[in-house]
Amino acid sequence: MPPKIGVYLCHCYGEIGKILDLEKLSQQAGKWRGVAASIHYPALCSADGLEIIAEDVRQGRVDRVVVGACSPAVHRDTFLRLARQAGLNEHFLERCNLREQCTRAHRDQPALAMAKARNLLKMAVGRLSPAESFEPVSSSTSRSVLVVGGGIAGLTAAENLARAGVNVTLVEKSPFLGGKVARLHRYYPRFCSPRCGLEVLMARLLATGRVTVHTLTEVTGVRGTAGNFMVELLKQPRYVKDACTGCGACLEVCPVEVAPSAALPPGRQRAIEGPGLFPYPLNYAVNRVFCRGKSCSRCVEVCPAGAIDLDQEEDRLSIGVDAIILAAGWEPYDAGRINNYGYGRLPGVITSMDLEVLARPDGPTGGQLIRPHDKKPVRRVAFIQCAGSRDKQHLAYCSSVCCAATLKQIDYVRAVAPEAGIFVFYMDIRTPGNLEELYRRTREEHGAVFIRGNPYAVEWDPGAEELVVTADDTLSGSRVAVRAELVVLATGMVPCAVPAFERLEKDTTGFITGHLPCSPMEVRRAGIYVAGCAQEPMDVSTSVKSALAAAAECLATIQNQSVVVPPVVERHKCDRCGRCVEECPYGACSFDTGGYPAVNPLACRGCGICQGGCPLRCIYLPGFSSREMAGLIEAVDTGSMDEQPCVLAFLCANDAYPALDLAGTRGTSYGANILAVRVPCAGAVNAGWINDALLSGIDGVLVVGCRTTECHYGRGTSLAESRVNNLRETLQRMLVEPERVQVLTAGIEDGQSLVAAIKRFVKQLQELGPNPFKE
Amino acid sequence: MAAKLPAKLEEVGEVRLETDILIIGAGNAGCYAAIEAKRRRPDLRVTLMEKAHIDRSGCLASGMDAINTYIKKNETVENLVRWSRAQAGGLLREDLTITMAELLNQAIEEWEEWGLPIKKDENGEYLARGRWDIAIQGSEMKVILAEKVREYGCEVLNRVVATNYLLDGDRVIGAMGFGVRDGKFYIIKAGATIVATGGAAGLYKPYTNDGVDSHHQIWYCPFNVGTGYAMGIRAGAEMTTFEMRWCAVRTKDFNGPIDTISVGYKAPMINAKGEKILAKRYAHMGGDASPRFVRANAPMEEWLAGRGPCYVDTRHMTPEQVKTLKIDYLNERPSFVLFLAARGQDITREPIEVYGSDPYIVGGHTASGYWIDVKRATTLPGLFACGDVAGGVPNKFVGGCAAEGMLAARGAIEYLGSLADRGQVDESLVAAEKARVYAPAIRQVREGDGVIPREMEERLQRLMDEYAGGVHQFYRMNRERLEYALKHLAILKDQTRYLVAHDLHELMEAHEIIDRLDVAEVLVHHLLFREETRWPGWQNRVDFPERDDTRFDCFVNSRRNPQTGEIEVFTRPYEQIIPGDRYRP
Amino acid sequence: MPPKVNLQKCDGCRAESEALCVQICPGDLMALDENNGKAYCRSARDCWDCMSCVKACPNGAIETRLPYQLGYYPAKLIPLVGSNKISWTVVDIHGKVERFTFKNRND
Repeated sequence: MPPKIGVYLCHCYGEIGKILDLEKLSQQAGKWRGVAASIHYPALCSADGLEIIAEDVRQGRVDRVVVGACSPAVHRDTFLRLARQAGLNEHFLERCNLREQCTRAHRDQPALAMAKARNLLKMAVGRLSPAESFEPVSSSTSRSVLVVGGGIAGLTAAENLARAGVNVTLVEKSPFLGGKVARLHRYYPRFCSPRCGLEVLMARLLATGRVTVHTLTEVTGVRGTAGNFMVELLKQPRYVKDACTGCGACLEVCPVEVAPSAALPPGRQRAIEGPGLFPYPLNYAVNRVFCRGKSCSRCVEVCPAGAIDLDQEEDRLSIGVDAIILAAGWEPYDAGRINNYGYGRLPGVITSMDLEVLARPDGPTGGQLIRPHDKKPVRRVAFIQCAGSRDKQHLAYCSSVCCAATLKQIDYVRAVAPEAGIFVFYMDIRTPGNLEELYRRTREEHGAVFIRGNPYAVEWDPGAEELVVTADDTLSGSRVAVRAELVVLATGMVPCAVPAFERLEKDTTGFITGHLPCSPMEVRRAGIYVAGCAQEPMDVSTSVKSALAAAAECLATIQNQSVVVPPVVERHKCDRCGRCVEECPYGACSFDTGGYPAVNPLACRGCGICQGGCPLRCIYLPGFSSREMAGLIEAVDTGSMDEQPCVLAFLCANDAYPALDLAGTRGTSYGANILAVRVPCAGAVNAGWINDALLSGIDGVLVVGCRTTECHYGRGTSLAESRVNNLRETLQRMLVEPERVQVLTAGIEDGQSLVAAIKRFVKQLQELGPNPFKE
Repeated sequence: MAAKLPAKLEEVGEVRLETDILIIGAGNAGCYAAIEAKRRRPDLRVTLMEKAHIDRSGCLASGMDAINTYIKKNETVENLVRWSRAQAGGLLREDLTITMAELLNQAIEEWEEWGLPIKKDENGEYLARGRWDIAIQGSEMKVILAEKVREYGCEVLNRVVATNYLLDGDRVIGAMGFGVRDGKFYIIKAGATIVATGGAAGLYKPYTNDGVDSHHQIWYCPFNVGTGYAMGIRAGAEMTTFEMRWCAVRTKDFNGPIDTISVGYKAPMINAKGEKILAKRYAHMGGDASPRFVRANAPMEEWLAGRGPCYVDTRHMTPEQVKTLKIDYLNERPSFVLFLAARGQDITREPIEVYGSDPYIVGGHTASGYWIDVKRATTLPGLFACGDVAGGVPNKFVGGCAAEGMLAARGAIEYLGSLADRGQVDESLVAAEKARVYAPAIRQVREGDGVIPREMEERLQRLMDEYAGGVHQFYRMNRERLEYALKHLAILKDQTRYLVAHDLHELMEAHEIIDRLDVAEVLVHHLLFREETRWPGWQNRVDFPERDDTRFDCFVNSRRNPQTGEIEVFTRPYEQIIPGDRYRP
Repeated sequence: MPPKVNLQKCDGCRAESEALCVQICPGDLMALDENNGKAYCRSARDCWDCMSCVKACPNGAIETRLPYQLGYYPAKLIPLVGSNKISWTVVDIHGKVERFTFKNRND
């Protein structure tokens, strides 16, 4: 059945109709091959206008529709709704930009605008004739998610997903859930116990009945993509079975004392450890790093429940999940590496995390403010901010939470030692939002002394048995030396290493990021989401928010229909070379059992990078088959440009296309010889289209993408550049000026500079003369 | 990455498949056979075994600029038979030619529908380039065909070289071979088997041979080495008319086709003195319309008589014609345009020099090949043949090979329907073939010394060139020389046990030379037997320079006894269906 | 004669299962150099000049050269492959340039 295309031209209340002779255009279009109806109307987006199109479709007068009106970037929903209501497949509706990129941009050259409008309409018709229809792909209904990390972020994400009906597998590498937050004494801003919040969260999570928890477990391998991950897990032995009642008898007999950190003396902690104040799971765990093993076995003998089994072995299991939330958390920066502060060497030098332990009633000092190793009362405490942070020797970045954490800890000190002297060495105090109130209170009510200066050193005065912190006070310009029994290093946060995810894209600081402004929670491998401090340093409440965001994005992927129609593979043309599999930034493309590429609709983000690289042009997004693109390009009348070189510009739909729209809307005029084609990404442009354009007599081709670092799909612009460079070298050998094909970059607000660049390109083309392929 | 060669036979992996129809060779004929089989019987498993990659394998790798046999309006099947019969010196299988001709147009029209651009004249008819020829733009025609094969759901095994048939008695129940990439031994059992491996190049030394670079600057696809003939010969299939070799006038030094020029642009062949050779000396044979063997021989005769070099005279051509001519070549053998550029030659001022090619065995041009019936069944039950490997139908060319592929598929389907059982695989034969296939590899590991395939290939080509009527001998031969050739062929065949292969590619080359030797031996027997000169140019017996209709107005056939290796040569009578003078169109 | 591979442009088709020229060559003549991962022709003498590899190379990294024994340096013939047409540029030994563009597929 030959297509019956309807061409509908919109006056846009005169904005288009005053510049273009729509009557003439519509008469011309009516004579083109495949066009069954061609009309113009004052406003197609009006209810009446839409009804005209819908009625033609319903009556079978037309089965494909070209709307010659405003930019496809506007009124998208209006026309999609029309297609749905009229029963027209959305891929049979082609928008033709007669306003932003025609009448607005060329209002002072009506004759040329007319020629351009004719070209744009012909291109739309040329593309639509061989177009195919596609239905959106629905995802499977199986829903399961792996959450890596049992800290506050992991638990929050798990709880939210489980409540939404998702089956969650939660893995935690340590023996107990709760992560760092469970080890805090209090957390700001309310200074409540974190256990309280964790308990509520845990109760809700367990109530869903949809969670499987694996402690002492690490992920050792991840294969597959969204909707189809296979995850390998390695579970270390706990040596304590579920029969454990948590009575603590074992703790009493264990002979191995274990220090909580390099700076703290052993307290109640032993080689067999209990869950502490957040008892999930309840049963104890033997730490085999310290345990003397079966030669001792006192705990085994004393356990009334017979729960201890030192013969347990590690276990490997693999599970299939639809998505993964990575909430592996953070570790404090190793304070021992900051030599001049003497951590681990000088008594009384501790980190902020050590102070959290000391402050707790179950800590080694029972929560009293005494120096841990000699029980000496602490009369003066010095906090050193940015210990190893914002320092190229250590961590170049700011960990963002340490300032507020110190202010919080000053509160701990004040609560137990109203008279103690408190000194804070800092570079800048960073307390955004209402944390400023905490800062004020610390200064004004708690009387803490703030000294702006980074200490040179912390030294031990053996006579006074005190620590001496020396620094330049940069505000007074004088050197200060502060004596203290306790020095607290506010160390920064380092992301926990997760070897199985090592290949994920990271920022320069080693944190795993998504595309920060556009899809921050999803990493560059679709179906994996990052939450909490694995993403960047953040405080507890921000971690909770990030976990909620990750869960929301994850749900959207695994539950709903895919947002895009994934690319089609023409298997009979495909030679299974695998370039699409290799280049897909989302890992959405993999080999099926026949060795052909198969696109996972859940993972596909519609960037079209696969079609850009396909040597045989047999994988394509709807609307971009080689037939459609050849139809579009062949429709260009290169002779209608009034001696101007004919330019075909492939513009990225994210930035460059709207930028050019905006330029036109603002009345920035550019040549009517610029014919733009909207593409999802510069990386979606296949070199074959550029060849088609050159062979059709088009004088120059532009590919305009986002700036290399800003590409929404990561590598689109750089891939376009390398493909175009290859083509340019071939052109050079063919004695065709390589300057005829260029890649430009533009941000969404760069309309003016884009127009300027296009004008430079046109000038260059004028100097080069006509396309040598033109017969 | 290609697999390593096995050091021991036990290391060789095996791939065993069972299919309904196995097609050996995925060139033009094989692809049409596959498509026809699958569309007639979608329920059947149809498997193609291809030594290269289906997209560019066989003669159409670089494309084609014309279909040389298309029955236009006002022409008939009978006329085509008459014309083809005269072109072939009166000798062809009329029954086979008729059945082929009946399907010719369908094959070509389908190809167009699938994407092959065929030029049209002002009336929308196919653009004629001669009485039977139409002009196409076929640079991608093989890719288009391969896509269709996959679309129909045929199974394609690329890079698997066939080495021998799987036999149950004399019945063919599939084939064996090895993977050039995976190194595995393939045992493919099939209900029916279709051979479509093409003809044989590389039996003779090309004059363009310069050792380093230009050994394969020949006209026929050099990767068609006669494997299909060789497998049939070894299994005892009856072969026909090998002595009708295909030696053609080609562009000198490039060995490019000249029909494009002489037929397409009516450029006459001239000698060094500027005389129109065909008009002047061969008017009695039809002048410019003389049979192909005459046209092949004419410039060589001129050269011998001291009137060379010879040319096709392009000096009358307009620049527009030259442009179209070059586009024709770009569609068929693009590098000919490069050749002209490398000679800096303006053909409107300098004519194109021509010369004879090295001889080939090509059933699509002459009548050499398997002796088949109208269903394209060979004399071995279960084996069908089509395309260049099938005999009896000269001048079938691209369209005829496609048509014959369809006929072979129909024959195979009918045969499948008549089968009571699918036969038994004799494992001892499989083991023996496996040992034979990998012998050069294993010898390389164990002995390290021996004969590399290239040395043997060059020895064969020199021998055939000098003693069996190669181009350097102006295609001439006599009994004594042919007997000399046979003697040395026997030595070479014995020497194949010394072949060594260093990698899988060289293992393929080893089997290519083994296959060529078997084809060459049969060819020399045929040349010896026909004690006349029926097709001067293709077959010149200087000891029997005249045509002898009393003894040889018939087919010369042969069959190698699989047990003894003896080659029996005998005749089959000519059967005329279309009346008229067989020597005139 | 041999396809000449531009080592700067050839990327060995990266992680693909088989480089496209290796996959397509009807003579099994193209292979990847194990040392640098780039394509090369294993036997110049056996090339038929069919130019399948030249047309297949997604990077335009392969050029066919005529054997010097048959034609002189530095003639060039380079294709540009479109969706349904192809264009050939030929440069002869005197530097004369000719271009030929034609349809090679109906769709």
